[in-house]
Amino acid sequence: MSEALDDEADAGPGYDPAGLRLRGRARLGGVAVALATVLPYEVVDGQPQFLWHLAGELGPAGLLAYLAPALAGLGIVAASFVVRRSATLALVVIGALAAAGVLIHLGADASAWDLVALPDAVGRSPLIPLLCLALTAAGSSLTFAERTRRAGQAVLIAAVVLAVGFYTWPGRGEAPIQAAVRLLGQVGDVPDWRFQLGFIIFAIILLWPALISLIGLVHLKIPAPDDQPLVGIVARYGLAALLGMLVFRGIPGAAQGWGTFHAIGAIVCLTGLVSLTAGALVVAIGTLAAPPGADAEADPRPAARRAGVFVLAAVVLVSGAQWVLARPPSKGVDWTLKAATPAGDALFSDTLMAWNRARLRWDRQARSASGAEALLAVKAAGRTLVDAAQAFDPSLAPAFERLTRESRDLGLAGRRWHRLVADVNEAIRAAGQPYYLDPTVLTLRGDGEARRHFRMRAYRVTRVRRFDVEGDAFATLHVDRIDGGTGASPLLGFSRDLQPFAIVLLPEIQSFQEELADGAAADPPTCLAGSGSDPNDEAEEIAADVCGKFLAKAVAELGAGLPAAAAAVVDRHELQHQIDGPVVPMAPLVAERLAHRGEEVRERVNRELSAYLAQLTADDAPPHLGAVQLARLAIGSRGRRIYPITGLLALEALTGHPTLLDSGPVGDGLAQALSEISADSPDALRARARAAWARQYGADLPAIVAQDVVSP
Amino acid sequence: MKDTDIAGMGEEPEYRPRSKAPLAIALLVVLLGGGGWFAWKAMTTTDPFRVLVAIDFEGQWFEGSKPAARLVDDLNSQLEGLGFDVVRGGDPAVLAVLEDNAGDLLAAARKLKASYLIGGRVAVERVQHEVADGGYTEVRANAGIELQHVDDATPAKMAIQSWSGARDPERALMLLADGVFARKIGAAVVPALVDHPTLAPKLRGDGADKKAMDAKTTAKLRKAEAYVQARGQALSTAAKAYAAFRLRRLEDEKGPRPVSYHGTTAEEDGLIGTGPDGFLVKTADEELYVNPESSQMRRLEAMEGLVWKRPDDQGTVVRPLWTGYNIYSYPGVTADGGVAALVEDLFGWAKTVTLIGRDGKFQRLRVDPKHRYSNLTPSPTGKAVAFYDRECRRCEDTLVVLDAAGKPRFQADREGGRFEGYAWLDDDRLVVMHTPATRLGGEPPVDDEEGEEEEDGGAEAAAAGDAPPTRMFDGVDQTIWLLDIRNSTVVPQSLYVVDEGQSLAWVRASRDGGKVAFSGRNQDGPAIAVLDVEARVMTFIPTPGPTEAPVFSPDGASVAFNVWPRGQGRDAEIGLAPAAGGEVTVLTDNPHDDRYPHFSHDGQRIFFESRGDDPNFPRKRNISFIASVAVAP
Repeated sequence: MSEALDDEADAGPGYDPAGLRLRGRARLGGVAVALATVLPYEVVDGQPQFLWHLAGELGPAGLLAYLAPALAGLGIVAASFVVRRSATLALVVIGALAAAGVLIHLGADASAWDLVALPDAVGRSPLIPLLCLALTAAGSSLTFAERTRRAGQAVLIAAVVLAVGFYTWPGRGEAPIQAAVRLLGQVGDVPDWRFQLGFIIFAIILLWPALISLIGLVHLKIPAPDDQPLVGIVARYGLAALLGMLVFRGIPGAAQGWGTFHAIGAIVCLTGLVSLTAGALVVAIGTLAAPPGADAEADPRPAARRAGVFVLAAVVLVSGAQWVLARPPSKGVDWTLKAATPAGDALFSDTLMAWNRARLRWDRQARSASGAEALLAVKAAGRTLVDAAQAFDPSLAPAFERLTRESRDLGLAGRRWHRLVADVNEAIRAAGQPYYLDPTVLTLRGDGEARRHFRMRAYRVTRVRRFDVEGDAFATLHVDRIDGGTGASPLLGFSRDLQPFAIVLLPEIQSFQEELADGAAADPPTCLAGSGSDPNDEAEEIAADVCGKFLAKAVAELGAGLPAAAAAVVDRHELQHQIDGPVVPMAPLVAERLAHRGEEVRERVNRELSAYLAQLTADDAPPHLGAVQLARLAIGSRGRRIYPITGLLALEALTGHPTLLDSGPVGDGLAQALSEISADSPDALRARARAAWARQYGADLPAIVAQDVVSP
Repeated sequence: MKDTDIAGMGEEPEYRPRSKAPLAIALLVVLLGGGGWFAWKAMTTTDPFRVLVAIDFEGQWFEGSKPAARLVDDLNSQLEGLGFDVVRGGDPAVLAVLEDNAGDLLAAARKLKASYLIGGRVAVERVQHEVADGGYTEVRANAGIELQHVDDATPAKMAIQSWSGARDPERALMLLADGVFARKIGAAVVPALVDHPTLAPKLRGDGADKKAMDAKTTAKLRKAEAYVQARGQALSTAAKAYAAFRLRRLEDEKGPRPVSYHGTTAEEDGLIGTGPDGFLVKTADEELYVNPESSQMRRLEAMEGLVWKRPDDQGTVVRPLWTGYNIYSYPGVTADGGVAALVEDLFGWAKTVTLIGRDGKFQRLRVDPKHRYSNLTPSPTGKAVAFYDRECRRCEDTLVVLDAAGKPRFQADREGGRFEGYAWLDDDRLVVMHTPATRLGGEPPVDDEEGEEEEDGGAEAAAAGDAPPTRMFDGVDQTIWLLDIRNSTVVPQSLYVVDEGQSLAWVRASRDGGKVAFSGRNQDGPAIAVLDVEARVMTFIPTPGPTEAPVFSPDGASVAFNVWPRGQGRDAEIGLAPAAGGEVTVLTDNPHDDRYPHFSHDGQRIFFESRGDDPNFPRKRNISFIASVAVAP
């Protein structure tokens, strides 16, 4: 690339302080940016967790995103030695950082579909505020020279515009400016001046990019006295100084070690990023956005433009490749189901689970102790399993052999576990056997590491329902659990983004519909039978009465069709999860009502809200049955957990009656919402749900066409 | 020079920068060389604290032996607890290396970065007991454990024994691999590791050796070193306590004859008899063990045994006759030591009647899960054995005589009364002392439909060839009976009826069968009684206190016994009396318990058990070692 970019290298640069500075910063800043990849992404019990701990868990797009800072940083360092023109180097720097940003963004989205999301330290770094700082630093510097002053002023304005956008846009939660105002508003509530000072410092750090951007506007009126104005220096290093003070303050009181190292590394990294970006912008804008000075030997702009085209092409190419890698998994399944047999049940329940338990014991023992006996046990159990699979259906044996052999690895990553189990599932599906294995990975943090426990559950597939969703295939499996696991699942079904189908748990649905039938038969009817909840107040009692009445009506109308209808509601719910995937637009209602809750709560409620609203639109089930489920979640709750919050917000989204405030559930709102719903006909309620979904997610629910049901 | 300079003036000097390539190449070579050297060192250097355990126990664990795997896990756990870095067997990468280097474990150790290899082999002896349903498997392990540094030419060797048992043979092996065996191996191996010439100087030395390892590294093994020191100290203290106990015994002895002790004083031996080789004891040894966790001293039970020991200072083992889980009650042995008889307790599943020859070959005459056998007494030449047989815990004792092949020769119920002892006069005649039910305050058993029973004269009637009496021992008082078991119908003959005011216990016959000695008392007080079988005359020899366990000298001229002399506390001493009657000599005088005397084969000394409280485990364990005292002054 350097030869192509430097086709006029003979012209050589003249004395160019900005260019010289950029070259120096490219070397130091490049290394600093590359640090983001090699720094531990988190510290568990004082032990750092590095990239190599996670590498196996990330898909190609996620891994590329994780490596992006290192690739960009080292590329910049290399370019600083190879590329001779400052403008070209600046464009390479900007291009490398932009490409890294795109890689990270797409990789973070892609890894959300995967088992393990990209660590927040990489996937959710605050690039926009850092860009504000870099623009301010660059803009203030550019105002020094007459030739670049106007461009510099434009850059300063751009920094402010970007800052305003960043601070006022709530994104997927609370807008940063709201958070800062809230923080400052609480200063008077804390008892000690040291806490007050702490709150103020945190608010200053939060608002720092905005403050610096605003201060940078000074140079709209007063040009910078030199090409290294104070505002630029503060923009580049001020945040690092502030954060450095906090780290320094924390050292005496904190257990030193990787935590401190990690914090210092992060400061170095962000400082390098800001400084590098600012330097590159100064050179690039100085070259491209303004005619050369009278003393210039030649106009460097044509060469810079050509370089820009090359860089842009490279960024597009890299981004395109990442876009391809980041495609979500395909959905839907073709499955010809044979009838279940006792031999199959025994293989997938007793034999397989015995191996899985042996593997789990070995995994635990081998990490904490010697584990030789456990290793022999898991080998023996593996042999038994493969032999049993061979006897049951020879076409399954190779997948089981691979599963047992390759999972005998203490470094087994979750992705590999899922792949191995997926291979078995694929062999099962290809053989038409009616079984499904659901792999799970539990991550437990402690003892200085994040330990993963690899488990699976075994299900007998009763039927496969296939759907066409606006041209895309989707599916749900109706299953019975056969692995002898203890305790009923609290869920009626589940959906994994990685899997091509959702799971509907028939035994749990059976229990659910029995509870509904009991509630409908009660006098007066109640929809709380078996839920373990009691109304919090009189208003909620009214809500429960209303709910009981429309439950009784729905059950009476359904008669023997109740189990099928209950399954259809769950089917539609889980199908919506499959359609949504992990990245769902943030519902305004969720963003507003849960602004102060944790991000994870917000995200999970947002996903569940989509599915709960969608389940009311199922054509093959009365929507009031789905509304009963919302009422069971909402009535009697404290509004603190995911599902009750979702139930409350779903009812509010449907009717507009407030059901959840900061103080907790609103009984009156709940009663009014259920009363309003009860008056709806089934079609009216479906339409109401569709409208609510559209309001919250900014689009219409996709049209779903049930295709066929595959049964043994 | 100047000309040249002048000539050169005005020309632009050519500037040729010195090429940096050679320097760069040299630097690269140095870097690559250094990196390669470090890489090579990193790949080949072993960790000074890393240990590979690979003991062949029914095969190696990496070959699939489960007991070996369990043993490895247990040992690894012990070693890790003490700070060693072990090669963990659960790692499949380790398994792969071991499978690839199965024939050369030292090479495997090197590849796994281990500096030490704990290897060797466990020889397993399986003893199948046909008891219970499906039998019971006893396993005995003789481990030859080897410890070797990867650079050592030869390993250090350690021998360790252990045992276990279970109905399922595989479970027996797994139980063996658990716990005690591994602890014994650990207790032997850890000191050997810490004291190994490659490690000890680094841990304990100073100067270069100490500096060779940084403090953090050596600190890892501080616990191991502390354990080894604590263990050494504890064992040394225990040994000193036993030695002191022995000295104290000697000092405490105030008797008229010098007493010799034949043991370490840590034994819990029961004296069975004597023979040309020395004395026969039943052993119940316990091995001292120091727990690495608590540094507390514990006892690990060894198998029990029947052992001939030499009467030297230490009581050296001459010949083990038998070892097993448990010996139930005291075994018996013929006067010449040729045949022993014992009751084996087969792990609680059954009891046996076992005869053991001089060569150690044994024969189980009876094996039964319910019957309880006791007081096994072989006949003088070992052709028969007499014993009590109780069918259940609350059942009556039956006196049974079997021949050496296990064929029943005689059997008699106690008939509601009580057998007080018996002794062989020869291979066919037994003297039996029986106390009838009426003397015990009970009613004699009803033998026939009418409830009638003969009051007396039964013996005479039988002798006259009439129908045998319904009760064999039909005396009204404690009676000494003579049983001649050669006849198909055994009719007891009354040798002596114990008078009012007399009581007898313990029955021991002289070697020639002419006399029988008893502990007892008569109207004058405690006495040793000697019965002349032929003359049916009982001689009471007054003793200075109550007695027990009389035994004849080989020539039958003297009787030794343990006696509690009045006024000398509650500890028994060894007494000696002429069998024909005369003055009793108390041969020992000490504040300890001396009991169960046996004359030496030549009759010159009397061996006995000297008992006491274990000085290292007071009030928790009794010790019993063998002592002897000269008969003649």
